[in-house]
Amino acid sequence: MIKVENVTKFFEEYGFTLRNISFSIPKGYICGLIGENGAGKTTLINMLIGLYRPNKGEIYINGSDVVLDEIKAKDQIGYVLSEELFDPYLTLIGNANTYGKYYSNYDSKVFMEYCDRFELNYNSKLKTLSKGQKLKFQFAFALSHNPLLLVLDEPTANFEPKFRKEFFKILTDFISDGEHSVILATHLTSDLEVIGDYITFLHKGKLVFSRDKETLISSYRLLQGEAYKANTLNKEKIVHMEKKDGLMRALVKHRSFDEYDKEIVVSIPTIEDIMYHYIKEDK
Amino acid sequence: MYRNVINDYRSHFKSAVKRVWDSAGWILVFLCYFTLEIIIAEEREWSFFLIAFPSIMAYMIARMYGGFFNKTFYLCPMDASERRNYAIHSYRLRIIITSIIFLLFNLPPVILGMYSIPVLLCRMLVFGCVTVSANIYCQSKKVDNKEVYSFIGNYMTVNIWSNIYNFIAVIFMGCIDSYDIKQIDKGSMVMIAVLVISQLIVTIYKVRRFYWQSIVVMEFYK
Repeated sequence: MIKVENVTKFFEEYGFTLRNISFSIPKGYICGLIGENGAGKTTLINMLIGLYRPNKGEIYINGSDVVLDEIKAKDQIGYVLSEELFDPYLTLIGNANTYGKYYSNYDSKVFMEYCDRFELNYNSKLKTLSKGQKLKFQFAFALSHNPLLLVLDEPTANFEPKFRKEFFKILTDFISDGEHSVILATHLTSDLEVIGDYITFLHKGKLVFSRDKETLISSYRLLQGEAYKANTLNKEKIVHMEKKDGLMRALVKHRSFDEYDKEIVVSIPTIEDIMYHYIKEDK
Repeated sequence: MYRNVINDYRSHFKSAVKRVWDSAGWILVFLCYFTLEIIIAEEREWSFFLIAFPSIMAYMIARMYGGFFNKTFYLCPMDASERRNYAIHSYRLRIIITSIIFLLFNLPPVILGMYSIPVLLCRMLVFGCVTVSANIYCQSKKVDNKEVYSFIGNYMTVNIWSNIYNFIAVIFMGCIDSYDIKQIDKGSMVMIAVLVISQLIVTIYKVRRFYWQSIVVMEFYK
């Protein structure tokens, strides 16, 4: 569904470069895009949705090049971005119809149904809505033109708990036929523990890894124990270790046949643990 | 494509008005024109108003809709050639709208015999330069919270000169309330001819230099 090949994007004015990013996400999966602030998540998202053109490399959405086959690629993408979009002086239905006419599968009835489901009054003006409601509107519009890919840039932080459950249910239903995919940029890695299938991690403009979640988590172990026990560990496998008050905490690469000292507590790391240790290691 | 542009202009009217309201430049244009109307035009207010008002509208409409696509528009399924086509049609539509306003204000006085067709043609020439050059407008884009102007070359200088010539030409044409060109004294005729020719030269230069840039600059967001 998504294929990113050797993509590079540089911004002279900011001194920032997204460098040689390559990964692919198959149909029918939810990919979490994680990274600290300034890692390049939004830049990558903006290239996926065709807002930025890469300086090098190609991006394909369901086989359509985002630059060369722009119409077909964008017609297949629904987006929710964490910024003000659309016209604040138009009503929700006014906005949807104004921009929806450019999409081949836009259906205003579907849009209105989603607005009802999300408890939005589609005759109210966009500027009267709260931040969370505006994101719900973007979500309703994204779904109303039947996209193959949903691109979501940190929407969940602004949703109330009740809607978050519904949001995840909609995403799960969206991919259930195996023909649709979701890419979700988020700081809330706990969400990805529940619904994520793939995890793509960016750090300072570079791709650290892009793997399916199960393989990712099973490839690492979190070790905790007495600081002197660090000597028993294979240094080549240590991603990052920190010692404090006589105790050590380390993330190590793991293979199924690896064994550890009995006095070391071995646990399966969360996505957040993996991200934390990679960032710390780089610093 | 005209239909799409018209529908979009109609939809975005309020936010377009706000964009002009927020940029204080239009206030300066209004103040200059109407101050001069009071000082220079004297009894010729009606004549001055007939050309000044459409000229002000040309500048306002250029700033309401010109040189600018909002971010959401770039996310719609359109490719660069379609956006270019849209920009060309929207430029033409802005000129058509302001020309209609000009004719609505200036045809009735001609029909009523208040001034002659040659005078109307002179006014049309001056106004044509005003609306064609006002709509070659580079509105800054806010990209990542930074103002970005994308014209290459001496746009600011040319823009200032074209605005000065437009302004002066409109003032002089507005002061002609004579029925016929033959009634205007030779000195004024020479001055008007020099002004209009200068205005034409600057306008043609601006169009040749920056028209295509003003279209192409809107093809891509970044």
